[in-house]
Amino acid sequence: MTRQGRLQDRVALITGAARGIGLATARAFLEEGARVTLCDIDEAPLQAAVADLLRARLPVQAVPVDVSDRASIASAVAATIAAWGQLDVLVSNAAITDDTPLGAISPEQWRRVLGVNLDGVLFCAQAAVPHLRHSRNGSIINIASIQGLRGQPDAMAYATAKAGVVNLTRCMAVDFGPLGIRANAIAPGFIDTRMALMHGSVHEHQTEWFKDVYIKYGRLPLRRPGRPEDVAGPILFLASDDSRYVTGQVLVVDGGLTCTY
Amino acid sequence: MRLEDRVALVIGAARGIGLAIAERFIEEGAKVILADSDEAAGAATAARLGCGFVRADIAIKADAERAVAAALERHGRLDILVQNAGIFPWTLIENIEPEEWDRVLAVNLKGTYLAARAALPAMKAQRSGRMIFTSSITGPRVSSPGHGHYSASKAGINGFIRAAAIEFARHRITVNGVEPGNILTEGVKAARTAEFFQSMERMIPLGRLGAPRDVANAVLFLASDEAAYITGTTILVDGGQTLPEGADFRLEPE
Repeated sequence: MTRQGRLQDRVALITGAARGIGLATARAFLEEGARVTLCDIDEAPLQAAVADLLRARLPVQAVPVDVSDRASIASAVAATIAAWGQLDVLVSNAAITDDTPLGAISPEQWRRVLGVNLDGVLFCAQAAVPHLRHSRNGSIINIASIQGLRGQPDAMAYATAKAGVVNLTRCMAVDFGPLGIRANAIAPGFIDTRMALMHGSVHEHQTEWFKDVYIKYGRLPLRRPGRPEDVAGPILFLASDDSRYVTGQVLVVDGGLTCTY
Repeated sequence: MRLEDRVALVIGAARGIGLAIAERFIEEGAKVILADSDEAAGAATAARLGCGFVRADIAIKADAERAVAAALERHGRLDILVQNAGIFPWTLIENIEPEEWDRVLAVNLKGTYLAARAALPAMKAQRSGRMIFTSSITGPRVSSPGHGHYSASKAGINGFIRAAAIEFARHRITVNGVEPGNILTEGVKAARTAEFFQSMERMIPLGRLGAPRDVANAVLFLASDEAAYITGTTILVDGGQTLPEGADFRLEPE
């Protein structure tokens, strides 16, 4: 169902699209008329999500991708071009979490987090730019994090990778601007997704500590965690013509959290 | 339509960016009241757009309250406040007299607080509202000679946005801003030379100056449902101008 057709005739590729922010973004794009390649490393939930969308007769395809692997990304871009002949919007959303304390992080863990969360963003852009430059409004949206804007305990690899995404986005904006491609980042705060699960079980937003500090005392001003849709809307803005003079921006979507930090 | 039946007060809307915001809001179904200190131009613009107008010098508390009252009287509620009124005299700091400093701070910064304070009771009662303030890249990100007072006022707006976002969030009111770069308004077109625009374009990654509508689109986004979880921040609308090292730095006006 097209709302305003803000992405009519556009083709988008979204990584980390099996669930959460990535899937909500795919849905928002589809509502605005886009055709979408959904990528994820987790093949089963990806295929399930795409099967759902196909049942609704939406123009989508699934391509399993490991963003830290350049060949894997190249195949996703190639599949997109093969299906629809163009690429207008890249959303680099795939990321892995890591909360290993300073003393415990191994070089392999460090490399893996940087490989997916930072290298992956670069590799996706490199693969997409030769096609984005032919778009009337080529747009790259990289998903960073407010953790990449501040210091954070037990998050050296994750927060460093996200800080890297922030400045990589600024450099992309400068380098790709003359090609007619915009590059922006979103820095989400607490969002209700699988990534907010602590140690695989408890949801961070359900802990007494969170309810006390962030909700009761208002350290999170809007007093609720965000929903994936709360991030998908801003991503849609950055993908659409409404942001055609916005590039190099790091848009914070955090319910005001970083105002009180 | 993204602002269907929403009531919006746009202050500083007789021309330029404020006018583009009002036009964009109307296109998306909003009921708009314009406010401006220039009564003749503001009334003419309002007549052309078919919306209400109220004369207001936003540096004066009673005027801010009258503007809000006009919106409430005409449409019964206030969903969106845009405070866009601002002045930008060019004076080196060594020549800024206290009266000029006070006037710039009064319109640009005090006017923002007065507009927010005037709109708050209605939005509090509704338990919803959007406040959007026009800041600038000049002050919060960069500056140039001749903009001492202007830079201070606009950087002050960003601080006020954060503080107001924290205080108003409990009433489900969000507070955000836009930071325009070089926008080709009629006023800017008249004040600058073709050489200036060419040198500016070379420094901007997107290769052009902005249009008022570019800023209006960002304001529309912040006013829309899609920005529900955004508060206390700003969107730069500058074509990437503040990212690379710039070259335009002159001590004398043209």
